[in-house]
Amino acid sequence: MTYQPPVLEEVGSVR
Amino acid sequence: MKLRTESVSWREIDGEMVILDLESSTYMKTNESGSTLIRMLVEERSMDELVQSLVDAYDVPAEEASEDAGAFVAMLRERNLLETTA
Repeated sequence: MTYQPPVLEEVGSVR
Repeated sequence: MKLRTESVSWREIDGEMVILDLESSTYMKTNESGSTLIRMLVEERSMDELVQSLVDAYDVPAEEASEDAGAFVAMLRERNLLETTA
């Protein structure tokens, strides 16, 4: 599988 | 280091890890390699263990894996998703 560096992305607010 | 368990829940969906932080009222997601690290961080892990998990899973050079794991852990710390040790 193609490796992509790990990223953490904010998707949204629970509110 | 270890993922914070209080007010944080997560679930893996189609290779992505979705993380809900009720403390900050935000939810986040990771890509596939990020999911690999999150799964590791459910338990107490050293940086070396995280790096090795990337090397094993994706056959990347250790130096590259070390940089990437370090950057990812920094992102987790920035969002207070890691347990703080006394």
